[in-house]
Amino acid sequence: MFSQAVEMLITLDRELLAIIFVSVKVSVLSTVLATLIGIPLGFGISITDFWGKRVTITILNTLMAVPTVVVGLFVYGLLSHQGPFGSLGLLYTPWAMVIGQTILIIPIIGALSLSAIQSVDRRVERTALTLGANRWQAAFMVFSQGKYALLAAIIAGFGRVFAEVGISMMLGGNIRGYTRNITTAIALETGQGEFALGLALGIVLLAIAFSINLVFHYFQRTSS
Amino acid sequence: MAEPILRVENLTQYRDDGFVLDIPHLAFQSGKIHGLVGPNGAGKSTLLYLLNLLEGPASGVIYFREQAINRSSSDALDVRRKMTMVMENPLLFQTTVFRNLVAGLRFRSINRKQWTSRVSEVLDTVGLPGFEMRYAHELSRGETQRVAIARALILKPELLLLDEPFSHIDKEHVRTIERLITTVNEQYGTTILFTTHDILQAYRLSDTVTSIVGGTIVDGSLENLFAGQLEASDGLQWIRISPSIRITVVTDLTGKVHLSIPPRDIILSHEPFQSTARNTFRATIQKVQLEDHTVRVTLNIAGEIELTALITITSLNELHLMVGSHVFLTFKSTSVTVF
Repeated sequence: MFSQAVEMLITLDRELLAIIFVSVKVSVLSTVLATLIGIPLGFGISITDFWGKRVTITILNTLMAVPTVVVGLFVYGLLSHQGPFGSLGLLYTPWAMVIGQTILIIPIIGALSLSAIQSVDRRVERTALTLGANRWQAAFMVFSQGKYALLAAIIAGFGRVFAEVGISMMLGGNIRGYTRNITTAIALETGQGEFALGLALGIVLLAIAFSINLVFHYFQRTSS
Repeated sequence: MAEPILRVENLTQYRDDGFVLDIPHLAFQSGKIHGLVGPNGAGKSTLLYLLNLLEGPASGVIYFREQAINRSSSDALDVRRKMTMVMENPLLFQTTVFRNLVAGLRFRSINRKQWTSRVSEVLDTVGLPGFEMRYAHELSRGETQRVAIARALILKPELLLLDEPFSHIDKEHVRTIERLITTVNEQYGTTILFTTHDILQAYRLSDTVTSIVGGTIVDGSLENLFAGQLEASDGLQWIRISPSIRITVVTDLTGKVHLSIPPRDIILSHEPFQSTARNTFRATIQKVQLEDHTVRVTLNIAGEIELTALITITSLNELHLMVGSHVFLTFKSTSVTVF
């Protein structure tokens, strides 16, 4: 069984590649979207003072640990036929997965980039101003001094969506060649007794998760 | 008199902890070195932040080259770019020395072709040639301070504000930074305003010294202040402060020095008296001013210098001191502060 799995990996089995492709495509897209929302969110919270800031930060941190099935349920409610966005016909498409995964990791990228910005020495902004920076240049300087921690935040988000199964299953529907990704395929194949494909995918998932963690820790170390 | 590069009128600022900065009037002449002296928490940094337009005052006006600056107006950035401040315990960005040095050039969109030559020029000035590719975290405190000053100098500011440039560094580097301040002022004509809590250092380095205590300007100037060349003979050290007057001192310093004689340590008498004190001069009383419990006597020695002595009211009455009368003044060589 194990040799069968290895053989699939070596011969680049078409079905295997298609499944990996769906995973990569959906995860990258949702990470990009969540980055575009999460980083400005974290940056905005860190540089502005507003009423309820501490509560907002606490909520954001709590949302980091929200179960995938809860997000799946929530988005399902929005996208199902009876839901407010049901007419868009997005349920059981990769887009539904992207939406769910993006919502899942906005708090992760937001909270981690908030702490990334907060960990930048407070004197950076002031120093930039003494050197003649305008407001934007000073903000960019703070941003660039926190760039490794920000990269780590993005990678943490990617790692989370790449390995999640609840949202993909509930919103994607595990449709072969369309929304079937690594995690849903493993769940299905194992359930059907097809251990070889499941194992091959498991190896891929582990390898990718391991690489992601290596990169994540590299950036975290560099930033400190 | 040169025009002031900076002038403030009725400047106030408040802090949450109850601190109040209140400066009715203060001006700094262009092209000079100005020392701002005061203890920690006196308001020196606050004043510098206001002058550098990093924060706005609660009230009052700051004039840069006699032009009132409104922090929210569009030309405030232009004015801010004519001066640079090196903060206390300065921060270098976490990257190379080169990238730190060009940060301000980048903000000003100065042509990249100039960067390399300007970087090596300022690194030479601060005595750190070849440091371009070093990383900020590899530098010692003294080196960090000098790179921070170089990062300011590369912008060729008209006014350089240095907040406590001598704290956080060891004694050997204090001399280096002191020389650097003088060199920059002489070579580039840069007006320099620095803060310190060492009044002697302020007098040694600067053309003007302003004392600030409790958020306001006070008259904390050194009295009986002179400068001269330190000489030694027969086991005695002395400084000639005018053609016919030399003052015996005790010090470890050499070369050109300053000295200050505390007015409380000067003894007045009608006749010269035998004592261990090494400095005795005949003087004419020029002025007698009554203060709270003391009398401030201004004396003239040989028509060359003036000295101030503080005595008690009782002594004044017993000695019958009057303007125009002659007295002898005496003080110990160990009373003289040499710096």
